[in-house]
Amino acid sequence: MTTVRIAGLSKRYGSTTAVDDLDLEIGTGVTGLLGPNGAGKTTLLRCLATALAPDRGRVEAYGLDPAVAAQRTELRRRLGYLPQDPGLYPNFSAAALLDYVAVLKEMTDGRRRRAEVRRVLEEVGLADRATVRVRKLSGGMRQRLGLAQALLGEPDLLILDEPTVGLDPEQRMLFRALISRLGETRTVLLSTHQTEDVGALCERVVVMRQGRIVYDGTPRGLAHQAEGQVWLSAQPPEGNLLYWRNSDGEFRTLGTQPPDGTPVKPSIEDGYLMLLGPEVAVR
Amino acid sequence: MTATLVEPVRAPARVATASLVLKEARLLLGMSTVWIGVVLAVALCTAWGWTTEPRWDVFTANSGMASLVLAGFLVLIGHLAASRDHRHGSTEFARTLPSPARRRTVGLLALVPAAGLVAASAVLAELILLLPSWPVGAFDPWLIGVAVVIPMVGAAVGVAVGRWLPSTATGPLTLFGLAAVLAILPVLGSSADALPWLLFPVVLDENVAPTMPRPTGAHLLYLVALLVAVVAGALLRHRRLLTSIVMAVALVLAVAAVQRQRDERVPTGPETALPYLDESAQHCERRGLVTYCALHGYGPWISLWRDAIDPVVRALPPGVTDLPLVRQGTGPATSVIADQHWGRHGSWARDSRTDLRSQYIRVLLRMPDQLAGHPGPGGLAERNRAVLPQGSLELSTGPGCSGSGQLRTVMALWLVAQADRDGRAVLSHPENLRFGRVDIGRAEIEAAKRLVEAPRDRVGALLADNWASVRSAAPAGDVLAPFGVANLPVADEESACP
Repeated sequence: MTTVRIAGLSKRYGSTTAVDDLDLEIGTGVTGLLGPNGAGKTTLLRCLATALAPDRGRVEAYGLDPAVAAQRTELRRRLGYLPQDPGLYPNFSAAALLDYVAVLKEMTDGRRRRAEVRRVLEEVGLADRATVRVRKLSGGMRQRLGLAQALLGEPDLLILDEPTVGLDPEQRMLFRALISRLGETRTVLLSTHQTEDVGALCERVVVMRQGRIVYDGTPRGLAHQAEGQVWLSAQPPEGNLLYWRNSDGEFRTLGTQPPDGTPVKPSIEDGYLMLLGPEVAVR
Repeated sequence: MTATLVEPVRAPARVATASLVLKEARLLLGMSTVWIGVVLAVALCTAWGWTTEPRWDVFTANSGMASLVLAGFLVLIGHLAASRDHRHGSTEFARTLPSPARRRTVGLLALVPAAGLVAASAVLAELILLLPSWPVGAFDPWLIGVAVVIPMVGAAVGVAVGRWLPSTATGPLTLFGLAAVLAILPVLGSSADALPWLLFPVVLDENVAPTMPRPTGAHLLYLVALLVAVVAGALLRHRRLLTSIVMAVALVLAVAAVQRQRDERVPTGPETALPYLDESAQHCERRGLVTYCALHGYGPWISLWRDAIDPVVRALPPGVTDLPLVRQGTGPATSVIADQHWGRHGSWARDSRTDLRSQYIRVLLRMPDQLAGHPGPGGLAERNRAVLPQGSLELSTGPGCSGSGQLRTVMALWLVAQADRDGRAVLSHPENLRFGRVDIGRAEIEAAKRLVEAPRDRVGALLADNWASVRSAAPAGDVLAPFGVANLPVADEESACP
């Protein structure tokens, strides 16, 4: 079921076009947003999260148009947003911050609000840090706290901009479990540079480049983009798009087959790199 | 990770706003910085009033000045709270929350009543710290209101500036600007009815009679109108028309209140103060042999005056009945004038007692007063007017005269020494021994020390036998010879006290 519709969305910063006439429909489940730096992912998420007004085009979520003030407020009630840099109030304790955000999310019943704060703190594994001031939390913990504030009130639409930055492997696994469960009933749009997260979580992946969508499909389909173009060889290849030495001492190559190359099943990352071409690969 | 699904509750806007208001108020009341400000304000008020017995006019002025310090804290706190979303990159996530900007501003304005609560608790703490003393004089509830409203204005200014100019530097700059304006107001006009003085938030004590009318209600109205204008200024971002009207009305009200203060203010000077200080304004009580007349609300100080004077009265010969009255305000020069100031602790209290006691002895023994004239009929203001045609309330001092060789000078010193267990020690500090403008010589002090060492009965008998001489400028002659005091040097007729 489609919950989010974006049509002809454009946003410019001066002479730079961040998002260029973009059309996208998203439904319930976890959708991954991939793209190099400056591809327009964050701008797209900001427009959808009502943090930024587009120059042109239309955004609609659950039938609500954020360009209309009343509908924007209603949309915000159904929205959980974790920005790239959550910038949480450093002098608040974790629980106090969440309680304050919960009040701003119009949770007025004190008892239920406190229960909700406890719930989200447990969800992100910060229950034992509830009374610690934000400024004393590590970067990963702050990221989890940012996620916790987005989860307050069980929002229908979760917009997460690079949510796994700073998380240790264990926390990343817990995060995946949490997001995949939420994605069963909600719309989750997450922007990330971690292709493993996309492979593990998303039933759909959208790749952006220079403000436009260059791929929209399944993670498997993205991996398929590099089908027949990933090789293992004993010698370093010449003239290929990208290669690196793996832990077995072999060279993994993207592009044309090296003289001693044997084909390998491509990963999402391979597909992503092949899709964006040599420019991104070199970067 | 297990999640317990909690169905979110969407409240009506009014309830959500009330919830945010309560939250912001709780946040403020939970801030240690606010309570540091309260402690500082209470400490300053207590320190400023520490040396004197409390009076309502002085207490409310000190409390008002201390509340300015608290208001300074609240300007910064209010600004930090209002600009919270604009620091540490919080703007983006805060912007996507469903509470609209107007509700955020209304919520932040919860700091205003919370600041009033904090200020009221500070005033209460300041009063409690006065115990076991309690302020005397006329209690003016409007002035207590001033001390409460000033921090509210501070909080409102902080929020308003924070909503309009959220940059971090604006808060301290605003505080600096306000402090500069407040510092410059008394410079622009220092008389009590000058406009800059009326614009100054605190009504300072002017040492006037407690019943003298002061337009303090109009001053409080001026502050409340200012508060409303600032609150409207904070809300101006959201409801331009309504808040503009409210702001304009509040400013008009503020101007009218200041004008009313100007109109109702009684001009300073002895002429205008006289009706509030003369005998009709005093309440008299007889305690023992002495009658004490206190101005309105100063009754509790009678026991302090009595403590100062009783040792003198006890040392007088039995049968002496024409004892001077002790009165506050104005009265005949045959009475002793206690002013509206009394030291509270240690040497400050001792000095007050010594001053009143010396004055009492001076009047009792008919020594010349500050004007070095003969005590006689006529109020202080009347005599003062003769000396100071401009009509200042301050008493000037006339030329000095010499009490050398006079019996009353020696007996005055002996009477002063009776108030202390170690009378010689009292006499060892001649700088503290003042009887109007009477100059006291070393010989008289030494003679008084001899009397102090003698049995009190003997000196009492001497006093009784020579009571008429003691109350005149008569020379001591050989009256003191039995006490080992040789003839005292006598001043020439021209410089001798009459």
